[in-house]
Amino acid sequence: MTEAKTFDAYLKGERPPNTHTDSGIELDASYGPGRAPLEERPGEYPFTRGIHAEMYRNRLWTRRQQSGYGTPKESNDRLIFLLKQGMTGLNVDYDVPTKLAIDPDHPLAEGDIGTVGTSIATAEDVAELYDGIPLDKVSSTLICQPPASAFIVATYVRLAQARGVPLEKLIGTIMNCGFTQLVGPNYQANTTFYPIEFTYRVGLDVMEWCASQMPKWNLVNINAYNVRETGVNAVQEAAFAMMVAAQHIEGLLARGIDIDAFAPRMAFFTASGLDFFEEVAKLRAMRRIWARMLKETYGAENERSCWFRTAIQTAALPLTAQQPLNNIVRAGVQTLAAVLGGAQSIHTTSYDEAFALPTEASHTLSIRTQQVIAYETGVTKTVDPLGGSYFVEELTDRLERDILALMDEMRARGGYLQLFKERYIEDAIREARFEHAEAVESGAHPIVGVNCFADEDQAPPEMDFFAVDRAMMDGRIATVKAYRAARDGAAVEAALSGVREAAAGEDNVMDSVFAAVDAKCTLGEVGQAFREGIGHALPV
Amino acid sequence: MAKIMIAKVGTDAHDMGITVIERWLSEAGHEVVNLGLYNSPSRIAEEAAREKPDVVGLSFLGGEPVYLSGRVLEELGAAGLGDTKLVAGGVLTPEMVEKLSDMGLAATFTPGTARETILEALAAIVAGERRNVPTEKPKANTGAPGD
Repeated sequence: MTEAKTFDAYLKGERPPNTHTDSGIELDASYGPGRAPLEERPGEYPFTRGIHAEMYRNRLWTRRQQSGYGTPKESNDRLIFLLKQGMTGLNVDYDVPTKLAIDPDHPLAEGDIGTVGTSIATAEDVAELYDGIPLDKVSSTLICQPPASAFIVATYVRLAQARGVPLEKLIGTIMNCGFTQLVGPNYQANTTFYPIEFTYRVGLDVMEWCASQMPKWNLVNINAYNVRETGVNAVQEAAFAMMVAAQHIEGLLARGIDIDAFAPRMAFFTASGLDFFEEVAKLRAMRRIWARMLKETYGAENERSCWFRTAIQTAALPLTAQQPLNNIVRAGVQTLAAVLGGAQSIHTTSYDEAFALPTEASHTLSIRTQQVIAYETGVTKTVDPLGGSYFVEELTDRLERDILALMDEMRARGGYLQLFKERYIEDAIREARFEHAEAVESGAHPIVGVNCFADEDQAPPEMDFFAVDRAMMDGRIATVKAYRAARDGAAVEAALSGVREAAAGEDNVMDSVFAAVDAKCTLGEVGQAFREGIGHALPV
Repeated sequence: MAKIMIAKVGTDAHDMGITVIERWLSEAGHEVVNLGLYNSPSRIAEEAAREKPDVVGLSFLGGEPVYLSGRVLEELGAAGLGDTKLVAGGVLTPEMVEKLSDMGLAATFTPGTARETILEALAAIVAGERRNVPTEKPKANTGAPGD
């Protein structure tokens, strides 16, 4: 743009490109006292204003940064490092082969070992990952979906037992949502390795087992964040996540389990986008919807069943490879929205997200961002400070209406599993992606540094990036091969045949998975036995 | 117009980029073969032998783009398709971009690359005008939104 043109534009006055929220809700110029004031206090049903009366005054949100890469030993080093920086909960991510339940020496895994999470194949790997970390004092989130989550829970439980930690003292979460955890609710991603019905069923098996054995453990976490990151808007994120939760609830109720025996241990993981007020309103609306759904639809009597508890990650989709330092500002604003929305734990996405996994330095900056908000800004000193704002209350009502309308439509069309199979979800994702791409191309959706205020030279940034090395991958392949060679083959075969039978039958698979772990079966072998049991062949 | 085969390699299933690219290339009149998710390097070479595309494009978010692109080049070579132009797009560090270029990839595209830039680069590759990373940067909007 020429200088003259720039000055003309500034003379004319800059203004926002539109006056609607990111989900398309048209906003008024201002809001006034049209709506009846909200009588609710924080900590009161239906918890619009927060699930606790005192919220952060009593306890700050947990700083829970996702981490995991390379070997279990390398990840253990990073976890210990992060705990020393002031991280207060663990959030361990596994590499994709682990999540898909294939071992490092599987042909499809060759380039993905330890790249976006840590590589786990055996119970010994899990022991190495948590070396020096007290399982009853530090809460751990295990980022894994079914059916691999069955193996991950079994190995974690065996580690606790070996250390003499009683299961009722284990604190943490198995993500365990077969509809959302992998990369969101995409069709091909969630149907290639296992049929969706099998994934769903093993997820319920894991939940059922956890509900009966680990009273403090969160047995499922609906990954609305991954839903959002596929490109859908805040209303779709919330509605899809609620319908996924309803699917899990109805599956457990059908097994004869009481709603209050598991609902208090269900939780969510949501995104905090950049549309500040819409994100705050979304969280307030989700709390209200969840509370009413649990009480009115599912008959929950325990107040804790009605608590919508959510971890938050600041959305990565708005972060850019161009002018990457801008991402620090974006993540700061997103983190503030998460705090004002009443999050239970937060992962602030690092500014190098559009290039690689975070380095130690960028990881630390994410924690510092949260600490500045927690300790310096004062926003934690009173609960739901935006509550009572004409605008925030009206936007909360509007989001609630829009989310409920979409949920009603989905329910009328057969519920989440049915709509997933019909590719309704897939189609919604595709449409959102094309719309977003068009809006970025046309400039209708401004992204600073990308389609406006871009640098002339667009040179790559001079930053250090995280990198994994090939030797680590080859090492993992050699390790798992050596592990297999040094076991009692007959015991392995017997255990795997038990897994096949369990998969083929209808009983809970967990006992067979524990037996497989005890016989030193690898995760990949258990995954393969699952497939053989149900007669599902890998197309790769 | 060209025949372009696009694929995700290995276990990474982030498919926003490849979904949008498929649409953009089709709308521009190219014949697109989208292999989708979970392709091994050898499968990509097998499909390339069958489909004979002018260009093969790989999409990455996670995984090891340099290693996997190298493996695809290797498999294409083994299948007698060493002349097939290979491009890659996705979450790539500047160091990866440099390595991929050194390995002979015809182009690489990082997040936020404009549609026009991608289409022009592919047109040039198909016309045989270049085999390397674009040197001329397109004009960026350095002004306010909508300028």
